[in-house]
Amino acid sequence: MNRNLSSPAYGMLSAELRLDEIAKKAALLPPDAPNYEVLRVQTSKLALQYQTPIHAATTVHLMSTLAGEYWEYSVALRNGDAILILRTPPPAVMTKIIETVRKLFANDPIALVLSEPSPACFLNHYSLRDDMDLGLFSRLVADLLTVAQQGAITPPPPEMRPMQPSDVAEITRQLDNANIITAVRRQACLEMINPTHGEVLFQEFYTASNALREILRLGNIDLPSSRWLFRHLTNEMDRLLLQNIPQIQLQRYPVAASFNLNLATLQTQEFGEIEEIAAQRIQLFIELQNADILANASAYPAIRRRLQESGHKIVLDGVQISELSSLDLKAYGADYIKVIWTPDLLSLNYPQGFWIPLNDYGREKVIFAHCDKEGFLWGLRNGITHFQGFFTDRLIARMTMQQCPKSENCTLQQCVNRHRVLLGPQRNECTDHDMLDMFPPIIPLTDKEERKA
Amino acid sequence: MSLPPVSSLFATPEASLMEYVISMIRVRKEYASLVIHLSNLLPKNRHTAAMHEALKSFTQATHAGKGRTFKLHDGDVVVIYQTGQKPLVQKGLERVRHLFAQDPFVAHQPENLFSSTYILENDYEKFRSFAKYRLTSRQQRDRLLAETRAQVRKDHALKQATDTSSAITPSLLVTAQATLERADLASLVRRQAICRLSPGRNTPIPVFYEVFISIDDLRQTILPRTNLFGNPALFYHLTETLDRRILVFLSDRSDKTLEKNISVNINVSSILSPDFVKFDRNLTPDVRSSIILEINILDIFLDVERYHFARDFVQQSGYRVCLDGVNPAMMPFVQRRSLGANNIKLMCSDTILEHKDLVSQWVKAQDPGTVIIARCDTIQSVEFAHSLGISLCQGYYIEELLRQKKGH
Repeated sequence: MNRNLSSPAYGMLSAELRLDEIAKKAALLPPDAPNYEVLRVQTSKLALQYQTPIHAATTVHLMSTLAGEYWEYSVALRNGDAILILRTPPPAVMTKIIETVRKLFANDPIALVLSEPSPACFLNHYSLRDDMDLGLFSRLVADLLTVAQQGAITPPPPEMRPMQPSDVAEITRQLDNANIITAVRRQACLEMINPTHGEVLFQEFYTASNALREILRLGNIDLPSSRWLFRHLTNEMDRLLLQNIPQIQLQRYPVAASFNLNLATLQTQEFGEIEEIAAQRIQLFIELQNADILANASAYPAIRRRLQESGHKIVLDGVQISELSSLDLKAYGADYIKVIWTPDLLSLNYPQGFWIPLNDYGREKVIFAHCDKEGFLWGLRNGITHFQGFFTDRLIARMTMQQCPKSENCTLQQCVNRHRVLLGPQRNECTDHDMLDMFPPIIPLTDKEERKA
Repeated sequence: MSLPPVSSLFATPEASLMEYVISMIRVRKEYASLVIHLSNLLPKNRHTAAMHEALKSFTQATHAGKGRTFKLHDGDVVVIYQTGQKPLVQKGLERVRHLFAQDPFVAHQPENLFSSTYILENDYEKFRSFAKYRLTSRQQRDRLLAETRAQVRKDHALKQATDTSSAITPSLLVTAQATLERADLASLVRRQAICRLSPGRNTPIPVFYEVFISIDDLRQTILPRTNLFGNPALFYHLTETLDRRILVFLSDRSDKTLEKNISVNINVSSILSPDFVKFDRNLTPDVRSSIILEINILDIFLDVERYHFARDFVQQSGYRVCLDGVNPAMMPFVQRRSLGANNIKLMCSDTILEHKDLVSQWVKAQDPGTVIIARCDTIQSVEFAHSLGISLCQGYYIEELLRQKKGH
């Protein structure tokens, strides 16, 4: 009887077939044969940013390295599973690998849950000498094989590819001929004075990547994946945005408007002119990215002072919760920090250390962005007073419809969508632009008003 | 009666004035307008703060929708106000005269040249013509400016296409990458020692060697006369290709580089790439622990979360991580401990030497034993490092000391 699981290579579905063979052979091994242990990391259970082929591949590689002489087989599957099979590993090696994998994903509370064969866990451990584990593993492999076979019949969707330098030249040329304002969207940031009363702090005007993809017919080019090239492109987009801003025609202009700009743009004559105009009637909130501030660290303090002395505000944009421990928020001298809301915070397992930098900076200056209803309520309970996202969009649309004399035939979603665009047919569907641009305060509604809204 | 607001976001003041004048046609009888000819002042006297003060003089007279002020592009200020507010406007005008009293135009010209008043009940059409004239002038000026800018961009693009001495462009990057994929890098690879140099001693002890590609030589090879640093974003993209090539170079067993303690520059995206996995697969744990991966601080801040993952991956595998490229301006934002790195590399420059207190405080917070001071090209820079408690140094001066040591 064969006492090990080694086997020749396979073609299509090779990984799944190989696992299937291992499971079948393991069932036939005699009791005195070497024990095989299986570790399965399901990156699909983790936060979105970890669900990439490279995260699965890196995990497999790291686990294989740590397995050393006990390595038997390892593979990163197309579904994001990283699987390692070890031959008679000492418990210390298993513990080391499990702890290392947990540390690798330590920013995700899912990674803190203990490993079990249960498919619900992100990290599964099967000892193939144990009948129950072997049964679970065999069933898993059978499922994987079925899915892979189906996948082999169905043609895969076209894969996105990273932007290349040759694409940048073409995109820049197209940008020059496109009307970038058609890709500009707006979203309000709500300041909650108390849990039932909120006011718009500013309206953010930003270039929506989906709209941009449509205008530029980008096909399968993934813009942000080539991070440095994307940064180069944002400079071009800044220039076009500033040139075309006067095209933004509103019935009522906001008291404060925010823009995502690069620091280099803030030193141009075009921005100087916008700043001069703004000085007379509108407060600017300039949203800056962390990397951009660091790349222009020498110029940043003077630019920040100039804007703040003119009454404008600086927002540190796009901060992930997991980054907070690495940033000294006070060093940025920003008036607000925009933190990307994540439902992970609802997990009881989420490490509470992230509050330390936020408390130090001041929770009242934190804006929860990309916030849904749960995030909004969670934030309110935890002393956050500024919110931006689909839920606040709905609150504003609801208040608008309640006050709008022409809202009878509109749906809430229509009102939300129309608030978002600045030009074109969707905005023109609304027959009361004055109401559309009003962005009223959020106040408690009476029962009658509630029913109307 | 209040006037309706203007409608376009960031419309020029001239366009806003025109819209405002049109919108007030029905209520014009109640309004007057004052034009203050500040464009006649010396430009140095029309600085932002002074103009801001000038406009503030009319806040009370125009508040709550009772009127508005407009600062036109040449510096002239227009105040539209309800006739009942005239005393306040007069007071404001006096304040503005006082603010600019030192300017020759205010000091030597008659008072009636300083401002003009339009009573809109009678002068509405005249004032409307004035607003229209100002708008047309502004539009002509903007058109001219846009044409000039477009021409400058066109000239610049043409210059870039024909003259390779300018900054790198996306098109040049395509060429550079293609050349780089084929180029023999062995002749461009350099090694520079990072040495421990104790105070009072002139005998540096090499701790490890940074293996890098000389960018200047690379430029000469792939794009002579192109300034690779001219566009930092495109340059950093190019370094990702360099990473791949250097990993292949290091994997070459005929090269003895990996027999010593070394450091290599690498991007986060390169660590999380199949090329790195391939490179790592052939290394023993001993070799991994002899390698320091130098990650540029800008690359880290591009996506801190991705860096966390890459850092944990390589540290768990046995490598050490060094934060590279820190300059004094970045110091407030960069802390080695919170970024979980083993070392941090500070670039020596005149700025550092000028800000000793700030640098000293920062170095202390990083733990001086983990700090490497790079670009030590003079004895002063080494003395400075020692005064901060830093003993790991790198640079031409250290190279020179090593040469002298070998000579003996």
